[in-house]
Amino acid sequence: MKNGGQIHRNLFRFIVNYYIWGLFIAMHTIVQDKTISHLRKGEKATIVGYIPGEVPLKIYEMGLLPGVIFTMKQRLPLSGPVCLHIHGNPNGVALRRTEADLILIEPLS
Amino acid sequence: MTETKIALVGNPNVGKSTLFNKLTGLRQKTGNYPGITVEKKTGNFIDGTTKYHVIDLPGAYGIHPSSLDEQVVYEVLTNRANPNHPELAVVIGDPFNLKRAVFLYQQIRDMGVPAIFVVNMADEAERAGLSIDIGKLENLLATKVIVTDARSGKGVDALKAALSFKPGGTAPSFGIPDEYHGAIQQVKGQTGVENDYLAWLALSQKHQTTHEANGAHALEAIRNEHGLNPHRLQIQETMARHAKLDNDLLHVVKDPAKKREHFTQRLDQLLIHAVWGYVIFFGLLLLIFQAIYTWSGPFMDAIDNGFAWLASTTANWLPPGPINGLLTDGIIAGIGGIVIFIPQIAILFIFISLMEESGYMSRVVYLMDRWLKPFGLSGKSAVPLMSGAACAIPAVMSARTIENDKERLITILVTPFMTCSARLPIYIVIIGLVIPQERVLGLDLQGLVLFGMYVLGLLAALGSAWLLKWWLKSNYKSFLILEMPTYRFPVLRNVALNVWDKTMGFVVGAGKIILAISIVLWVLGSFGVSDRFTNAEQVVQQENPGMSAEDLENEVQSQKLEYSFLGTLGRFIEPAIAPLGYDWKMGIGLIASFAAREVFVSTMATVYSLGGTDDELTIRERMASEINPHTGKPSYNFASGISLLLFYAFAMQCMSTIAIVRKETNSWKWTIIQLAFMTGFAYLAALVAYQLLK
Repeated sequence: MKNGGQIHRNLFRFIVNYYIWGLFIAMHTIVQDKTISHLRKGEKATIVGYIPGEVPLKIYEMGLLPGVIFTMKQRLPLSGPVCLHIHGNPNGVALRRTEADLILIEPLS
Repeated sequence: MTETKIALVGNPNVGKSTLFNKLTGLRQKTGNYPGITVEKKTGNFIDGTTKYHVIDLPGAYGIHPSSLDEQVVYEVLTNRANPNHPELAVVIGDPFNLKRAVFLYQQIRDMGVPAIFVVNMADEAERAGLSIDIGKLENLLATKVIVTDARSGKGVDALKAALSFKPGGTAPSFGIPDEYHGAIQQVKGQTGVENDYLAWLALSQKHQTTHEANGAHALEAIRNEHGLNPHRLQIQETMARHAKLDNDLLHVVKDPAKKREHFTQRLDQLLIHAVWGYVIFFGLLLLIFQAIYTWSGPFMDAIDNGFAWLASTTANWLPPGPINGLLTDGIIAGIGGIVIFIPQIAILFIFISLMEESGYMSRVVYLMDRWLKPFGLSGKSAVPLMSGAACAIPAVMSARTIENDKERLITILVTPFMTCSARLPIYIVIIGLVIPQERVLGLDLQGLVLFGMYVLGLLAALGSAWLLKWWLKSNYKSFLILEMPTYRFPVLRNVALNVWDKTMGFVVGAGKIILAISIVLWVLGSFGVSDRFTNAEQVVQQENPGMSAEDLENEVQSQKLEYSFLGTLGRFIEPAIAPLGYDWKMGIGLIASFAAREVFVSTMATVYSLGGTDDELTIRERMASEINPHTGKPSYNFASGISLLLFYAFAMQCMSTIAIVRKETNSWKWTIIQLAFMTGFAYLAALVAYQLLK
């Protein structure tokens, strides 16, 4: 009986652990896969990285660097370009959807 | 007097051109860099005992080039042997984006080019509560820092005084990581450069298209040996510099980060709105076309009358003879043909400059990109395409702003398909002749056909762009990463200088060609060797006894043209154009049109022995009664009329456009391909239309 309880408890712990870790991993993947083009108008986010491959240097030069906070200002329909505002910079930055998909973000709001 | 070469360098939208205009005033000129199509602005001024030659380099965010514009900056600054290589670089920065400007400055200093730093737009920064510790910035940059406000001219004298400053040497701000030292030493040995950073730059360029091109293979070998990816090197450098600058600038800039630029953000809610943005843009387009067609009317009439008066006065003043004819019909008429386009071009460029100066142009690019991208064009192609509806010449010039070389070339190649104002008189005459004056669904049929011709031009431009997209390769990846600057009130001086510059460029550049062609046409049309030409009066008199003096005069003129060299040419090409439904007289019109399409109507007038009158109604009547000697039908029937409309819609019949395309692409190959494609397509379309409709 005592043994059985132990097994049950272990099984329960295992399932809980598995579940939590699984959820965490799943969430983590979702978070990691979020790019600028997932944001809706008015949402705030910070840059956490880039999709591997050739990211145009201009993205870095424009100041779209890890840690930078920005707001999605405008999206055009039919996968048109997006317009961002980097915090502290009065000028906006417009990106095509293909470029916006290269930049990984973490939503802040 | 000593002479010093200086270069203005900076990110786009920091007021660099305004500063350039303030420094040089009207002592400036625009040219092209040899070998590429990027506009080069140079000027000079004297301060004390030194004459400064200033070159206004295109805006760049960093030294690693990703467009033709930036390639110029790279070449001029890294190649000491370049004739434009400056003795001092003046790096101009915007206080709101100081990091980006310092980034470029440090790259330039690391190459070993002496530089000073300018913080422009000082007034705006002050109003926004942003303060920059100039002393600390000077320490960080190891040079002189000047604060200016180019719009008001504040600080420009201090800048002039600072140009004699000789910055001392500094340690490089980007330490090349140790693991690359082997490769760097190899590059230095191979290319002979002494500066580590220049060697790093050579190593980190994917396409050696500038002065480094000779050593491209050796550099490629070094990269392969060390397993280096040039793109990664660029990114590694950019990230390292940014990280260092974040730290270094911490105590230099005091930004209370107040909420600012409400005005721009509020305006953008409307101007780049997914619906209203387009409505406003198309409304603006309508206004521009309206302005080009109506506002220019009085000016064009005045110019036309002025030149007509000049020609008749000259004709009366000089004794009659071939020199008189050359001067009045050839040269004065030719120059008149150029000058008459000035009002339209000036009005167009006033609008375009205002849109650029105010910051609205970036919004147009943003709005149009999605719709032009499928055709291998970029949002930036919208400007040349819409200008093309006035005149292809300034339109082709305005393609200079397109960064991607492929998109720029496609834009230049397809823009002449747009219905320019020179096609309009031909369309109006021919539609009036062959399209019945009916109403379809309550709309005027002739008007509908005219509108259809505009649509046809746009479709031809987009269709051929789509074809070219599959054919062309690009050295650069196509992307749109566009800065949207805050809205500003345009600096009228910049607008005026720009309009002056573009208009004069057209008059002088294209003018030379129009003039030459006019003279050639006049010579060909005024001389002949056949007996029917030299003794036209007697021949006509013998063949038509009892004709009135006026009719006789007309008949003589007509016959002279027929047997002149031009007429002989027309009859020579007749077999080629007969399948399109044209006779030799229309052939002359076609040949003359290759100088400029708008001469078709006046040429036809001459051919139909009416003399060079511009009274379209009488020409139209005469054209309507003209019988084609081969078919026995009217020369301008429905089939040949449609065929003619299609031919004029597609054919490249404008010497000035050919000249400007040659200048802007710097390639005879593309100029000839464009000429052959457009004209070949026009021929085919006209052929099919005539054969189906006749």
